[in-house]
Amino acid sequence: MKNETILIERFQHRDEAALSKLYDNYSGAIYGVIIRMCRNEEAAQEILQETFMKAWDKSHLYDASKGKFYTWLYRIARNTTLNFLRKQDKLIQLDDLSVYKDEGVEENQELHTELIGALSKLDAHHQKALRLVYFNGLTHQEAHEEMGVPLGTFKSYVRQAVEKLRVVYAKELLLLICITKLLT
Amino acid sequence: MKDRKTIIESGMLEQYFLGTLPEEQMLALEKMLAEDAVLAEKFAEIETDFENIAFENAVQPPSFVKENLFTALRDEASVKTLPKEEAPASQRLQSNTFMWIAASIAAIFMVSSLWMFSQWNDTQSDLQITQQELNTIKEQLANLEGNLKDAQVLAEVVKDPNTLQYALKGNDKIPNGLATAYINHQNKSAIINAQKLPELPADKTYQMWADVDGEMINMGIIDKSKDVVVLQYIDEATSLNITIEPAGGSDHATVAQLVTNVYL
Repeated sequence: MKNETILIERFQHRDEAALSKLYDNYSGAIYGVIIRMCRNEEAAQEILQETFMKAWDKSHLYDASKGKFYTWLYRIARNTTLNFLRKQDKLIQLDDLSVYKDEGVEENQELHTELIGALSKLDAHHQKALRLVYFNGLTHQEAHEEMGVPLGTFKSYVRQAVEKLRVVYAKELLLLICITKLLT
Repeated sequence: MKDRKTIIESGMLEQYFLGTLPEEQMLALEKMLAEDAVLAEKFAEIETDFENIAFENAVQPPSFVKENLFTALRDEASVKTLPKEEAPASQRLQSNTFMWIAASIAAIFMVSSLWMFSQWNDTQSDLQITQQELNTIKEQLANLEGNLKDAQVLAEVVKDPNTLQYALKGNDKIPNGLATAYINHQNKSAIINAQKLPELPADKTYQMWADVDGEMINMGIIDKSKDVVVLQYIDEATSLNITIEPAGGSDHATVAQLVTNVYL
């Protein structure tokens, strides 16, 4: 944690080596979000590059007291991807949500965008709620319409999904601790 | 503003994480998060949860993306412009702080430059003094070398068994005066140690003469500043004589000013 803080401080002081290290640490996680949002490998690569360029240019704006570095980076990636998608199809009206909508349960297998890990263990409606807002970039307003449930219900879905995820992570962590103790 | 429980249950924290909260609510929530440690802890948990999801579902990008990124950054650096986005108040404060730091560094630089200039002048002066001292030491060394040479000459002459030593005692003009002459007829050398001759006024000097058939032949001026004076050897001299002459010496001996002599 301390190392991460030092790394970020160096990054904010325009240290390219620190940027390189942060890229190594976060590019996979961020690229996973971007590629699921835009569903286009070539575009996702450009957006990932643009995300880190923006982060580099605006590094002085990152305030650790307001949140984690990942959170800040995720927001940049999300906005960059949404801007890219809006520019991509000028024919789509701004209020046409189809560009952001989840286009069904089928995932692009070639892009390996199917969700895995703890998220895949959640109930379908919780999984979908998180996918819409987190990996598809929809607002809560857009997502509840997409799911066909009231906004309040949708918000509950998101919150419950996050809480259930935490339970899964806690179990996995406990299991990991037990295995480590057994091994040692 | 809503209370902590309402905020948590309304899903505002998740929306804030996603960056989808309207600006007014976002600013109010940020203020609450800064003041409410429990709420901040809750938000930190949500951040960690979302981060975990992303890392679990990470997709490694091709390596050329990183290469392109750094190439683009270097290209951008060559035509760098200032960020268009206006920094928030805290950042402006930071910028001001940087300006103060920069101004302080500049001031320190100026003061240190003046100090260094003053030091440089002092060093120049010290260097001149040192050079003068060095010249003095060189002169002293040259004198010492001269004295050593004289002493060596004297030692060589004295230790030579063919050298004859003559004591020239002062007459009533210099009652306590004494000079010692060393004559070597084999080597045809003549040396005198005139240390014990009394000092003369600046316009006077001692001069040595050899008496050859009643004629005083000049052997040379006796330099009192030297311990040993090498004089001209004169063949067939019957006596050695020292007179007091005007400074610079005379062509002919002033016999009235004879202060000492010795027969060979």
